[in-house]
Amino acid sequence: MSAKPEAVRINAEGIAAPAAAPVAGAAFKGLLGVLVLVGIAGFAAGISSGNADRVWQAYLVNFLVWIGIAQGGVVLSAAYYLTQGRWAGATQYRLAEAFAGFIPLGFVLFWGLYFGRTMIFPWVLHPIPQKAAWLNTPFLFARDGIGLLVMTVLSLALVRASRRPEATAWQRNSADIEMPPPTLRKIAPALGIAFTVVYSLIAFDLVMSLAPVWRSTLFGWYFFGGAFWSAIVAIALTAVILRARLGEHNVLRDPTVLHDIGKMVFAFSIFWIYLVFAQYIVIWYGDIPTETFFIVQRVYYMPWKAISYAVVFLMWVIPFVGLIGVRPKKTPAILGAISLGGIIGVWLERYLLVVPSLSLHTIPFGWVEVLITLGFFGAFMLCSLPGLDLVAAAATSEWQEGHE
Amino acid sequence: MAAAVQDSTTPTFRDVDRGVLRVMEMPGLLYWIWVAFCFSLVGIAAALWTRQIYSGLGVTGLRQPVMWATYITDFVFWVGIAHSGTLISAILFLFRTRWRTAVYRAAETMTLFAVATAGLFPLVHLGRVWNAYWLLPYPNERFLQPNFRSPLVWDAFAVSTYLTISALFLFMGLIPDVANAREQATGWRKTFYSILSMGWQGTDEQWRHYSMAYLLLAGLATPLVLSVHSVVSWDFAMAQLPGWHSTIFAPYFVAGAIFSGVAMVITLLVPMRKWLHIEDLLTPWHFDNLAKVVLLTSLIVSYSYATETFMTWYSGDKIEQMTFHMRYFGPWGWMFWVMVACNCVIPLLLFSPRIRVNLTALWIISIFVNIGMWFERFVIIAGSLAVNFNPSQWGSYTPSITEIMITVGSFAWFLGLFSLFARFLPIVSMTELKEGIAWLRKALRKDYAKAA
Repeated sequence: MSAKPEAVRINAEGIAAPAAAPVAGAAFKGLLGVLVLVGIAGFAAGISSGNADRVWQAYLVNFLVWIGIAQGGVVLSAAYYLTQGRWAGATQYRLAEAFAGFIPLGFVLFWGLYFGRTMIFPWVLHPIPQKAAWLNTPFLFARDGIGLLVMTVLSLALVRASRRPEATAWQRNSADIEMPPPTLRKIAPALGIAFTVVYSLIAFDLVMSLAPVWRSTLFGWYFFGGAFWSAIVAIALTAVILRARLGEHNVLRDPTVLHDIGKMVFAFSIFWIYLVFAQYIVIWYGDIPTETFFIVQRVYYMPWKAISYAVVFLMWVIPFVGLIGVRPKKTPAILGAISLGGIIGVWLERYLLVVPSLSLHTIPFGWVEVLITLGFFGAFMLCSLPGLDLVAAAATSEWQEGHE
Repeated sequence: MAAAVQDSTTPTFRDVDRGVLRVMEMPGLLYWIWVAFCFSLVGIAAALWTRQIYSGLGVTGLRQPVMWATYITDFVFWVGIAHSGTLISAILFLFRTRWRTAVYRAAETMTLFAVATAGLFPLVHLGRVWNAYWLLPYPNERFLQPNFRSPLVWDAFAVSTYLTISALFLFMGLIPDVANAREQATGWRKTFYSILSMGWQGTDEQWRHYSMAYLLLAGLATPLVLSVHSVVSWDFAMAQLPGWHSTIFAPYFVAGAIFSGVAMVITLLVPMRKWLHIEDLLTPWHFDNLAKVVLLTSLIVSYSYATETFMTWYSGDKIEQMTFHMRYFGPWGWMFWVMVACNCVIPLLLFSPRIRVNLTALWIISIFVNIGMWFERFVIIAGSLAVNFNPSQWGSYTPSITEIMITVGSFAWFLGLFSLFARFLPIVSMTELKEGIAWLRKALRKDYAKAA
C-alpha cells in the first residue's frame, strides 16, 4: 500500500510535464484578449449611448451564467470527492476544476453590480416598506459579497489541495476504498454546503428580488441546480473538444469516459426539468396571482414565450431525447452539439429569469448584449486556460500510464 | 474479528454462502414468539379498524378542521421509509457504488413491506372503504371518477406503480440467490425456492439477460424514487392553505423520505447484524456510508425548513406568518422543536467519522431520525389544518385509541413481515457480495474494522 501511490506520483509528474503542449496558442489567446476589449468597449458604448439599463441587464445575466459554470465545476469536483467517484482518474477532477480561475474574477465583477443597482433592482428607487429589512442595498451587497468571498476562498483551497500529488495519486487509485486526503475530506463538504446557501442567496437577491412581489421556495435550489448542470455541459463540451485536439493518445478517447459524462448531462437535465415542473405545477394549481404572474409573463405571452420554449428544448427535450441509449453519449459530435446547445440554453434561461422582470414587453437584444457576452466569454476563457492545460496534461499522461 | 481476517483472501465465496444460508435455517422458539407478538398487535389493529368501518370515523379523533392527521401522517411516514430501498438498489447501482451490495437486499425488502404498509392507510382513512376503487380508473360511462385533478388519485397511481416496480425488482434480484438456496434446501423449502427461482441454472445466457434486465429495471426505478414522494408531497403543496402551499415540497419530501428510509435501514440492520451473526458481511464500512447518506439528507431537510421560514418572513403574508408562528410557538410547538432536534441537530453528530462507525451511537441516532420524521409529517399535515385563514375556525386534534393502536399495528405488521422475510429468504445478496468481494475484504481489513 505504502509504495504504490509513490510510484504513481513519480510517474504522473514525470509524464505530465513534457506530454502536453498548452491548449491555446498565442493567436487564440490574442483573440480572447480582443474579445475582452470588445466587451469593455461595448460596455462603455452602451452606457454612453443611453442604453445603460440594457448594459446592466446583460452584465447581470452574464455574471450569473459564467460564475455559475465556474463554481458549479468546483462543486462537481467536491461531489466527486464526497462520493469517491474515480471513473476517469485525475482527468475528471481536472475537467471539473478547469474553469475555477474565473471565480476570483467573478467575485470582483460582482461588485460591478453596485454601480448598476438603480438599473437592476426596482426596489432601490421604489423601496418596499414591508421588505426593506431584507431588500436594501448595504445589506444585500454585504451578505452576497461575504458569501461569494467564502465561496472563492473555499473553491481555491479545494482546487489547490486537489492538484497536490497525494490527491492525484488518490484520484488515480480507483481500486481502493480509501478516503481522499484529509484536507479534501474537510473542504469538500464545506464547499457543498456553502454552495447551496450562497447560491440560494444569489438566486433570491439577484434574480427573485427583481420581481419583489414574487417568491418560490424552490427557486434557490432550482437556480443552483441549473448552475451545476451548466458546469456539466461545459465539461462535456470541453471533453469533446480536447478529445479531438490532444491527438490519438489521451484518456478522453476512451469511449467510457464520454459515456459517463454523457450520463451526467442526461441525468441532471432530467433533474433540472423536475425542478421546473415542481414549481410550475404548484403555482399553476394554487393559482395565486402574486405567484402566477411570473410564470404567465414568461410562458404564456410573446415575446418571452418563444424564449421559454427554446430554453426547455435546449436544456431538457434535446438532451433527453438525444442522449437516450449508449451510442449518442459515446458519439463526440452528438454529445458536443447537445452540450453546446445546453450552454446556450443556460444563457437564455438566465436571460429569461432576469430580463422580463425589467423589460416586459420587448426583448432587448442587440449589439449591447452581444458585445458584453463576448467580453465575458473572453474573460472566462482566459481565466480557464491554465486549468485547461492541466486537463490536457492529465488526459495525456493517464493514457500513457494505462497503455505502457 | 479484525484479527481473524488479516489476509486478503477471506472471506471466500463459500464463507459468503455459509454466512447467508445459515441465517435461513429453521429459527428457534424466541423468533416465533416475536413473530406471534407482532401479528397479535396487527390483530388488535384490525379489530379496531373493523369497529371503525362499522361505526364510522367518529371513533377517531378527526374533527373539523383537522380531517387529516394520524392516518395520513402514517401513510406519508411509511411511503418515506420505502424510499431507501430503491435508492440503494437502483440509483446507487447506476452510480456504481460499492458499499450497496451488502445492504441493498435488506433495504429493498424493507421498501416492499413499507409500501405495503403505507398502501393500507388511505384505505383505513376512508369513511366508506368499500368505495376505494373510485381512486382507480375503472370503466364508468360518465367519467365521474376518478377525479384526475385530485392529488389523491395521483397518489394511487404513484404508489401502486412503486409497489409493482419494487416487488419486481426485489424478486428479480432474488432469483440467483434463491436458486443457490434451492440447491441445499429440503422439503417444502425446496419447492418454495424452486418456484421463486424460476428455473434458474446460472448459464451464461441467463446471466446476460439477468444483468440487462437488472440494469433496465434500475433505470426505470430511478425516476420513480423521485416521482412517488413528489406526488405524495403534492397532497400538501397544491392547496392555497398556508403551510400547504410551497414549491419546495417535492424535492424536500424526497430528501426527507430518503433520510427516514436510510435511518430505518440502520435501525433494522444494526440489531439484525448481531442477532443473525453476519458481522463479517455487514461491516462498519457499510454503516459509515449509510450514515453519510443520512447526514446529507438531514442537511437537505434542514435547508428546506430554513428556506420555508425565510420565505414566509420575506413574503410579508400575514396569514402565512401566523400559520408558521403557531407552528413554532403554538400549542403544538413542542412537536416542531422535537422535529428540529431529531432531524437537524442530532444528525450533525454524523460529521464525526468515529460516531459513524460506532454502531450503538448510530443506531440511537437513527431512531431519533425516525421519530423526528414522523413528527415532521404530523406538523405539516395536522398543524397546518388546525390553523387556517379564519381564527374562529381554528381547531385542535387528539388521536383516539383507534388511531394509536392502528399506528402501533402498522409497525408490528411491518416488523413481522420483515422478520419472516429475513429468516426465510436471503436477506443479504450472495450474488452481489461475491461480485464485490474485493471491497468486502478491504473493508474488513482496513481501519474500519478496528473501530467496531
